[in-house]
Amino acid sequence: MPVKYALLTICGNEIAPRFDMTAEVLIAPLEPMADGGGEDAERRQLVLAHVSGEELCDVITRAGVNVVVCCGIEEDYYHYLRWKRIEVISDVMGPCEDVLARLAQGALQAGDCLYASP
Amino acid sequence: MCPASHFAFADILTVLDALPVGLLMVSPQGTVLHLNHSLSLMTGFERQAAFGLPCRHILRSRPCVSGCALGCCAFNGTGVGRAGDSLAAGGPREEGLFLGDFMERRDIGTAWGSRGVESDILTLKKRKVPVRLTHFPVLDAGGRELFRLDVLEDLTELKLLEQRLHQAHGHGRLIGRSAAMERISALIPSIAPSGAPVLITGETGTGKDILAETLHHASHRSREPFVRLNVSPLPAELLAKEFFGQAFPDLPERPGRFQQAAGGTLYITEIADLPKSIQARLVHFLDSGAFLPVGAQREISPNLRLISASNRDPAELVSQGILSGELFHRLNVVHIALPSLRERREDIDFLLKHFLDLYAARFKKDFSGFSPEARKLLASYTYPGNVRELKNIVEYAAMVCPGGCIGVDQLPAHMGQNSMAEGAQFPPPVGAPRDRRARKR
Repeated sequence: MPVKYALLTICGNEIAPRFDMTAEVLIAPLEPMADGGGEDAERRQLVLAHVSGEELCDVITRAGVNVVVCCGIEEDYYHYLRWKRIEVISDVMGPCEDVLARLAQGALQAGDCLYASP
Repeated sequence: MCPASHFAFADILTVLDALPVGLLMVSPQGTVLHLNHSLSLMTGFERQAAFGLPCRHILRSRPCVSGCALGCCAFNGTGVGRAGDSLAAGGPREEGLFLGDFMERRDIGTAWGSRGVESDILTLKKRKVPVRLTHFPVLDAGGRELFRLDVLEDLTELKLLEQRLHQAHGHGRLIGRSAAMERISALIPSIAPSGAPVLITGETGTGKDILAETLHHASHRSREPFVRLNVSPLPAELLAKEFFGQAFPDLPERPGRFQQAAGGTLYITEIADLPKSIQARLVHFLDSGAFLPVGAQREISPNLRLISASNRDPAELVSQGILSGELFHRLNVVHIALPSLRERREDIDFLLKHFLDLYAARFKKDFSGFSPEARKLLASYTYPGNVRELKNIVEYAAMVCPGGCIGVDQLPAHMGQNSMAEGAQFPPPVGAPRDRRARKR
């Protein structure tokens, strides 16, 4: 069933500072598509064998991800993913759960910082 | 009293702003306290927007992710979040810069101190900037860490300069550690800047094309065209048009390779294949610096350097009447004879490792090397195709082998035939039943 998936580049329990240096990703389903699928979809956490931007792009395209959430990303990878019709929300900072919640609301934007304000 | 203590903290920040290097003031908890104007320009972050954010999200350097040598406590899960940290926070440290007397810190136990580390950062504009990152902790009189100062020097210009120098002096693709190759490498910086014709000889696969390109890139013509001319088996008249272009009065002008190479280098890959008529015109060009395009009334004089190559002995070609003696003597101003791989067998090990590293990276595989049997076979092989063949062998092995140690089975089958005389292992073709071959033997 078609479910919209988001991939978050993570480090610990927050968004990793750099896309090309990410060793771990979280793939999470977003809202079900219009036909109501996606109820059985589960979160997956993948640890990559190598830290590599190319390899991560490969994982993203093969995993059928619709949205990528990351912090710093080099423009080559950004344009490649956009060319593959994958939405990229970059320069996001904050804990994964908060980011996912904001993303599920459809309110996450590039440059959002979800750390508590001083 | 130390003069520094007369300064207000705001004055110090003003001084930091005026400095031409990027400066990031970080709390002991790893959050940004201040970034100066240079760093703001470098990263794209506004000062107010960056305040209180974890420093790793502002710098986005490699060490920030691969393991902060300073032990960024926020990143280790003890203090995730944005915070307006107090300058007084943090534990006591034994060494550091003191705000009072700005004593130079001699050693912080990592390469981050004093010398710094070369890394890169990712900017808000998604650009990777090479930097040198140096770290200084600043302590109060009681030895407690007040803040850390990260100094970022933009190395973009230096890296470009390094690249240009590498092109000028580096012979990146001309590989070899043998005495013969070292001698040739040492010649390049003195030969390249001159405009004298160069004749390169050597067996197929020894690197004639690479040497020609290297000479071009190391010369002052490096920003001008490098035109490579393969002499195809065309009739001499058509070849003349290909070489010198045509300029008939009633037809549109068509530039030849000589015109295309104007200002740069023209490289003729096999001089022995040139017809005699073209050789005569080349002699005229080398004498006068001018040539007449086919059908033209006036000569033209392009400023170019001629590099030619042959895989046969030019003196023998002259004696056989294939190469004009006049042309040979004019081309032979600088003659570089590239040794075959058989004549520099000491390079084989080095080349194997070099190409294995290259293909391991390209195919994203991990190789520990070659097995003793494979190494024996590779060492005894005669390499009639020289370095090109060795490169192809390694590429094949890297493709076939899933990773780990490359064995004899993963080397091309034909290798056994050229090394049998030396008593090496004789592997069957890939995919052939090995047992049957073994039984036959």
